[in-house]
Amino acid sequence: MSEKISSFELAMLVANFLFTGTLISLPQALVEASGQNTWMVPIAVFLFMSLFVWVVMGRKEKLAGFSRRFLSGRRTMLEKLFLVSFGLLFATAYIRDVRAMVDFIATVLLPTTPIDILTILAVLAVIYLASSGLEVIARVTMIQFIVLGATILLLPFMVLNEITFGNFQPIVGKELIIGVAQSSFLLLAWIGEGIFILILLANMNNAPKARNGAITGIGIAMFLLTVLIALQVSVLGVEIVTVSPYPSHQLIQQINLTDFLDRLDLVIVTVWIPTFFAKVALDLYLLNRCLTSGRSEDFNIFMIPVGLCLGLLSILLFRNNMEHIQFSFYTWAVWGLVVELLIGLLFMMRRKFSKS
Amino acid sequence: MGTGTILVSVVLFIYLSKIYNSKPFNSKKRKMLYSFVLFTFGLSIVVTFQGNFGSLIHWMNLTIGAMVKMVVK
Repeated sequence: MSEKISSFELAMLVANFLFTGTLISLPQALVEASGQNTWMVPIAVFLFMSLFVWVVMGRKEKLAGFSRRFLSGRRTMLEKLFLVSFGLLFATAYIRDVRAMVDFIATVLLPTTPIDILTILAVLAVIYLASSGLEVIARVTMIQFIVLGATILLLPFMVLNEITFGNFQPIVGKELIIGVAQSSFLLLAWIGEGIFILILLANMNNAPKARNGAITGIGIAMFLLTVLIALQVSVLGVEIVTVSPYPSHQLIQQINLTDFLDRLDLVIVTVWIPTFFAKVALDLYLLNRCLTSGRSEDFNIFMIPVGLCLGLLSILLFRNNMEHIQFSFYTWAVWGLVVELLIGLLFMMRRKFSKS
Repeated sequence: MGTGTILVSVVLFIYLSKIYNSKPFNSKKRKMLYSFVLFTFGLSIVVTFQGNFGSLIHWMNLTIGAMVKMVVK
């Protein structure tokens, strides 16, 4: 495998992949389920996902040898099943993400532009980035995500005058555990997408560090999500967040630093959009890896047709924005989770049956 | 959808011209033709069933999505 990334780059890829997707609309469903206690949900999911990654990847010492054997040479039945499940997961994730991005742009930024034009233009940009390869995606992601992370960390200071701590009350209610459990269930499938690291093991400079890189990435994403959700609840309040289709965007609209900087939200959206492009590009790259796994040349050959076809499907599969939101919030919670668990199980079985 | 299809056609035209101009007929060219066939086949399925595709997600939302909604609400 010629393309190599470091464990820090993997951590940034994971963090970007998990955070940029969840911040668009998902806080609405999470807050609807667990109210003012939603800020605890990413912490609970982080603990669960770290355990999942730790169990699936196994001992560090054996990972280096296994990463050289996994998906190289003749395919075993388990590897074929792994690739099919992986392709299925990231094809649906690509369709969902493209539609989410296009719906957001069509609603907030370019309301008069036809959705199919937005889709094709977005898909072409994504194909260009994805066909540049994993190293380029990792470097682009790293630069953009650091800027996005810094912006999120600065947000509490920007909306300091709007924060109402009373919105967090009551902190401990009788429905705390049930609410957090329901919310965690909705978030789990989104964070489970971090399982993409399994196919990138052969691309690691130091494969045994992949596990730590992945857990660090999940930790960064969950920390930023905790900050964002806490700000949404404290600034907007539970009632507004539960009815807002884009609560994060509504949050940054509340920034009121001076009289003349009244459209600072556009600046922050400009920081976020490239990170989301990088996420969708990684979706497509991973899908392409499934299709061309094991071949030594022409890695990008299916990228244009598959990217365009799935881009068109993202328009046709969802008849309207509401169906996409329903799918992302509720259907994905089961669909995504089942496929992710299957991928994890197949990887563990392949690892167990691998000759040491 | 019409404008989108025109844009896709332009991209496909560039893609095909790239295949046409690459000499000789090597394995790369063959694979590009395969991927072109894959895309046109996919596009024909998309266009044929475009009215029915929406019902797939609608059905998933009504079954899986509704069950999840019942649990979390």
